[in-house]
Amino acid sequence: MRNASLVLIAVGIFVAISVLVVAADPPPPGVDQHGESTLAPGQQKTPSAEKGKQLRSVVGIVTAKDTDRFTVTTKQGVTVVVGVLESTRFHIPTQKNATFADLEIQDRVAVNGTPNASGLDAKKVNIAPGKPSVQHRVGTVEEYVPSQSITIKTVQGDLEKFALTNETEIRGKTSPAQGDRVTVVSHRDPSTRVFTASAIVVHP
Amino acid sequence: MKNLSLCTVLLLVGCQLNQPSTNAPIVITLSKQTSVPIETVLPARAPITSTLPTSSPSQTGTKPAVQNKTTPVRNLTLQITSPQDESVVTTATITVTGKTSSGAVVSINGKLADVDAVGGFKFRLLLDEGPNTIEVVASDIDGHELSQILLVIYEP
Repeated sequence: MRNASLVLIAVGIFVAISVLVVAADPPPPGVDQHGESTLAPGQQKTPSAEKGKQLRSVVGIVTAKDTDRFTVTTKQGVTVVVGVLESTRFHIPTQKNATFADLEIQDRVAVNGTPNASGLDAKKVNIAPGKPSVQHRVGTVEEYVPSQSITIKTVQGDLEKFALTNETEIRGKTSPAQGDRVTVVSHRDPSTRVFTASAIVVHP
Repeated sequence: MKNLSLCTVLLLVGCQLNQPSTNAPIVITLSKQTSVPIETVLPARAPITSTLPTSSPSQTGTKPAVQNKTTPVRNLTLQITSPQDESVVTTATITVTGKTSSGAVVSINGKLADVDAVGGFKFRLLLDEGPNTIEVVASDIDGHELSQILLVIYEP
């Protein structure tokens, strides 16, 4: 009887310790404590990603920022902590040489990087601008200098001048003439702040 | 008998801890006056999806949520069919397709897209590895403009 009791006590202690050890093990990246995936649909889970070296990615809104990391929350409500390294590159279409300092809470970002214990270390971060860097302007041609510039009077009544390059695409006519109604597709060079036309559509 | 009782208690503890873990703290009451919260015994399990402390100084700044421009413009529409925003693709070249108003001008990252007679458009785009920003802008002859900004990730 006494021996049986001792055996039962030993079994009980073993079970209790086993449970504590299992509970103390952290879940692997991409899996929560319930064994379910924490990867959002925007993330691609691949077998090699589970090996810990394949690039992973996340898209969402920046909901927190610290000195060397930030948190991204996806549409599905999943949060991922993104570590920022010296090698991490930031890209904003409207800004030249973007850095981590340009990242703000509520920015919409796409990130790819390498999985780590708490999320991923960022390789590249694309920050979506609040409005596009490309703009369309409609107006009548005031002056056109091939490969140099075009000046139009917009439908709002403003005079706007755009730089041209040899790559500027022109559709509708071989070259615009004064009085033609055109749409100028342009983007602002972040460094020079000059609007350069990438395309001109001459309307009939 | 005393040993049997102790053993039973230990087994019950084991069974209690073996239940599926939840966020609620597990408390085993030993008597009416004494209780031991198990969460102080178990090592904290750091979840992969943790949020940074809200006391971070950089969090004090606020900025309106980035939204695609959706100002309604009469007779001008813009709908992107493909690719899906915030998607991951495995090919470097994708075709951006969508529908706009007939006669509208559409640009994809500043390049003109071909728009057919009923407003359908498509444009082949070469992606960089990793995250990509795709700006789609449509305008009509009256100078109205609509745009959408897509974030797409290319992972070969």
